[in-house]
Amino acid sequence: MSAARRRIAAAVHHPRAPWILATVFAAAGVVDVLRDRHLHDEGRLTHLFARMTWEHPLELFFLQKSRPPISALYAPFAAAGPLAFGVAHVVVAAIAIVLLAGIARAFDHRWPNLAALVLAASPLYFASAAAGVSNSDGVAVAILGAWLWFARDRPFLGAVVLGLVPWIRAELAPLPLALLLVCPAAQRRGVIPGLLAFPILYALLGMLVHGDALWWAHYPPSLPEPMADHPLWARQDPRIGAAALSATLLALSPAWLFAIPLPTAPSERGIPRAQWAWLAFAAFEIGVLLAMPRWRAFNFDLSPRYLLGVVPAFALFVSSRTAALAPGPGLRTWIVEHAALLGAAALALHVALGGVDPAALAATAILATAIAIGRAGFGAAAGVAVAALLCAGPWGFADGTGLSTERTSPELQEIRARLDEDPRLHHRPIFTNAPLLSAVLPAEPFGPVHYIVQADQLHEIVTLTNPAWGQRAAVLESLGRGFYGIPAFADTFTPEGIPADAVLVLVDDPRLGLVMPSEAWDPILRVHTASATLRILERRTDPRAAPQSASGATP
Amino acid sequence: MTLRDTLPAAMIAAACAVATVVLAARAPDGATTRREPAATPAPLLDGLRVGDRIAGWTVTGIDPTRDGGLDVTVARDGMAFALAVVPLGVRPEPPPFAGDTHAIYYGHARPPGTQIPAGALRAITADLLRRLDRAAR
Repeated sequence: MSAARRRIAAAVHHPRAPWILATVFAAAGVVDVLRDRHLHDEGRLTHLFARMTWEHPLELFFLQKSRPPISALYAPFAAAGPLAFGVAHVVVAAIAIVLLAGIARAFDHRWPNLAALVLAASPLYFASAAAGVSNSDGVAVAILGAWLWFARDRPFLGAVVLGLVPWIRAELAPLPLALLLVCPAAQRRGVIPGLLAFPILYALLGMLVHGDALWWAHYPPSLPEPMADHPLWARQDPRIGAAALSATLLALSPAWLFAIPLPTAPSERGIPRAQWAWLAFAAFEIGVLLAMPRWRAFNFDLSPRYLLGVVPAFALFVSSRTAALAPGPGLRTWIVEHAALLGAAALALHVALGGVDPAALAATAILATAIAIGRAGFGAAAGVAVAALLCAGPWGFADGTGLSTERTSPELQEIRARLDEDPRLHHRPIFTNAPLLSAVLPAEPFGPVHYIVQADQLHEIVTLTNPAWGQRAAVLESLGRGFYGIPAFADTFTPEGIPADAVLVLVDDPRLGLVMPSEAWDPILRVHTASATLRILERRTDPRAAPQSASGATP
Repeated sequence: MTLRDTLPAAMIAAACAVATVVLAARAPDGATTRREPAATPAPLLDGLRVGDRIAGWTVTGIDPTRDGGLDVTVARDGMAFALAVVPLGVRPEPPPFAGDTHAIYYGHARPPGTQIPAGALRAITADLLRRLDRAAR
């Protein structure tokens, strides 16, 4: 065996290789956190709930909205600050990379570390880990449960962990059920009690705390339907186009095409039922989550991160299929393989002809090359081609993650530029509806940042908390210590209540009119700066002199 | 191994590779979000380079102008426009944006007829002016 082949064999087999991969992932993630490349309001929310859990553990643990398992996990880190939380979040995601390699090894994969590479190099997984959003936590905990179950042969313990998953990410709830239904009876001993352990214990303890047997239904993890007349939903298009679909698939993994299973020839190694269950869950998840926004149920929109739960299934199947590339596939295998390839090529071409980056075409070309050389008998070379494509993921295919701060909050740079430019705006209290402004604005020379809590956010807090035993009061008290800055709640945020030198930094948002009705605010404000998506306003020195028709002050 | 095993996939690979190259080359400057391979930092703009992002827009080209300045092309979502950063006074038209030493003009929106978002324009020019300041220090 040549030295190059030995190195490749070590990379795809060696049990320490995933640890190296995880270390690189964690180091890159920490750098990303330090540079705020994926600063995201949902990530700040994960930090917020963890910090609030540190301050009010009982009230927050029995608030389903807080994602209790991970809020408890991150509470001490969150108490130490956003940076400590961000680092801990990345490390948790990195550990799951090692565990997934363990699962692939337990599933008798020929190249188990390739599965770990798919997860580590998934642009969406990396972005989610760095952003601090709970989606990567849901995936990491699901992987931990599956690892305990299948790699360590601890089905009860694994099931207990998998039982936590619905309280981290609701969309992952079908996964434990799919594993339970599909796995052979011999692998299921103790699984049902394990899956039920946390839900039953949590419900019973919650019953004592809330004094309500049906507390879990009365105070659910999220709103079953959007707030009535929610303007954001009215403006949202619930359909996904080909370009967005292609970008999302590439962001999940540029090798997503290899997640499509092939009819297995009898001579090839069988794929374990648990792996099939994960893929069935992934297919269900993709179908449901792309359709869910049409029904406007449970606040799901078309954010790609909701699909992150399918990445482990992609990883396991990319590993299986790449390793199985060999000459002489059966006719059924050949037909399915080429039909999938043609379909992917057609989608990529359609998207590229529409003027979008031809990255999907490039990815398809590399995967087609891997198939050709693998079927020609050069399996290791095919593996190298797939690995090279995966490694390019975080750089070449990250546009579809929907988590880059520059893409999700481009207004932050403009706000900073506008505030920087005019020294008259310095050291004055800022009121804003931009949730990330407080995170990016330095203390000097700017004044304190007050966040205008939106009507739907207040509606959610009120609906999902129980006032009877002090939970709502504790949550509001804890929020008062910091919620995207100093919170300004709708009931106290009035034209008379803001300081005379206040600066209002308002980003275009259809919800703003619910908190700042024009008839109340326009007469007291004057426009300092206005652009297509941003307005900076100041109080008029003499509100009564203001013309009643003053326009443009508020959306 | 037979031709059936490898040839169709190889042909699809070749077709996709050719299409990638052709479509990437055919796209008008900066009309896609592709990154240019050569990314030499521009000292005048404090090391700005192709591939950098400004206010959510990707810098897809930095080219010298005949009057001693730089044309910076930015693109997002299939739309692109150019900003010319030139020394003050070298062009007769009054500049829409100006710093201490340089003026910034903008235009060449693609596809033709596209309106450049005012917010993006302000954010990008503000960033370029700050870069000019930093580079001058």
